[in-house]
Amino acid sequence: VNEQYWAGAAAGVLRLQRCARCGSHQFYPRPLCISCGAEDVVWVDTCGRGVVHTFTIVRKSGTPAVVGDAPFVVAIVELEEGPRLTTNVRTDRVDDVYIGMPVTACFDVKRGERTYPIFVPEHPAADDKR
Amino acid sequence: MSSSEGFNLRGQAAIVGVGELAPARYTEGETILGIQARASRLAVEDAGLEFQDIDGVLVQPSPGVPMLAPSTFAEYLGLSVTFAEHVDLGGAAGAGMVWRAAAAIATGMCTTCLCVTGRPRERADLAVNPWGLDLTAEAEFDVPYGAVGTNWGYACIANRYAHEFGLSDVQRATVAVKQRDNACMNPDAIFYGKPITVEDVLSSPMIVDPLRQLEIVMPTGGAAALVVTSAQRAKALRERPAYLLGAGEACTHKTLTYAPDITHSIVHAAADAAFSMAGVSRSQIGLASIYDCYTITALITLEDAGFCKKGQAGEFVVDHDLGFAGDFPMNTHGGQLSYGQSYLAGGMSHVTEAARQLHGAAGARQVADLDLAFVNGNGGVMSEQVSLVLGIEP
Repeated sequence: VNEQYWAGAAAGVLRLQRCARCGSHQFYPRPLCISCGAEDVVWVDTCGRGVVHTFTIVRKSGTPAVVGDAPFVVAIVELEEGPRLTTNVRTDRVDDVYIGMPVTACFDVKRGERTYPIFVPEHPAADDKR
Repeated sequence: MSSSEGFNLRGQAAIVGVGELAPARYTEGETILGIQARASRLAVEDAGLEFQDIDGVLVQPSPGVPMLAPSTFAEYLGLSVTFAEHVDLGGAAGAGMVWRAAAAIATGMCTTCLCVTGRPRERADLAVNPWGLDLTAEAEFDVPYGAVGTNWGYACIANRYAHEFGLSDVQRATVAVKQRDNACMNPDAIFYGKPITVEDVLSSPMIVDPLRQLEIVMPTGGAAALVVTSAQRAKALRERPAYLLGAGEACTHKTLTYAPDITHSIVHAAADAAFSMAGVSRSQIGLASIYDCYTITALITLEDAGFCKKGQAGEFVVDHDLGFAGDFPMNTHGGQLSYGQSYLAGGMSHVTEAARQLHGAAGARQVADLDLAFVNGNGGVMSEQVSLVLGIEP
């Protein structure tokens, strides 16, 4: 059931499951809808946009992220469609990431066979206004 | 949600024995079953019992014991039991064992139950992952982004909490400082004799923004065990048994990514159920023994358990004396932040301290005239929650 997600990422699109009965979106993939229980869940392409719901800058870690070694930003991003996922926000200026920051998905990070969706600030230049 | 149907666990059983090995940065020559057995012997002795009196066991999931953990442990101690189970609630396992033991006793499945947690911490073992295959969503969708362990999750909670309610670095640091003061009254604490200041906390290295090193629990090796028995037997064994008066449990997620709400934890559901079963109000509690793997954990737990209003825990810890003689005694053993976290025995230390205080056996840090204590256990990233109300009268 997860293969559609990874195939989407490899093709440059962020996919979510949507319930054909109640209309809820969900992440991560399951064989049924966790809102209404229907097994009629279909894959949909999303716009790949969201906002940083919360985040941290990992300064010390023995485990690298797909975007590289520490320091890196781990963020829980709330997608426009509703579900949240954990990802990296890639930026040269980790200290400029903030809660509510609009971000958009990016598909140029591979590890092994898999493309891992990460996010970048939607308006990099707008940071100066803060 | 607690149910009003069915029988009530209130006053059916009590903690009568506590056994604990002091946390050590590293252990030498200890095995996981061996260290648990040593803590168990101390608990059984403290209860004035023999191993032959034990007819129930609750054990933790133990690395290196992939299945049949309860019978493996019973065999190791030569026990003959009528109730054997393992409790997989992470840091909430210790608290979760207490009501499960009481339920087994109240339903006649056993009479006296040993609850045990802990593991060694050998230098040589630290590089090995003893748990094997991980096929969870967390491993597939979170870990590749460096979202490993629990540091990142609690840091994300702290940042979101500050965004919604306001919380200063000094307020968070105050938790670490006041619990260190408490540890300085406990010779078994890993940081006994090492007081710290707010400045020390703020100048310790940033690990995961906004959490600094002195706000993060230190792993140790050690073990802790309890003996729980029926109310009737308890009275014959000790003058002041720690009766289980109320229990509540709640869980919605494992990984923070999938938590329904980042800043409103389900501690409220567990605590409400425990207080409701006990018929006790927050203001009657004389000791709060609450899980504190990070400073933010203790703060959120304090308010979601109802000891202060939502968003005010930062002011609460600054305004109150959290020492054993203070106006709000909290984590009098030092909390895990200053006592040490010996794997799941870290969570159990909040239960052992509450029981020890209620027994009147806390020595120099004894809370005077204590008759009711609140315990909270937390597993994962505010994932599994278990709340207990314990008291000296059934």
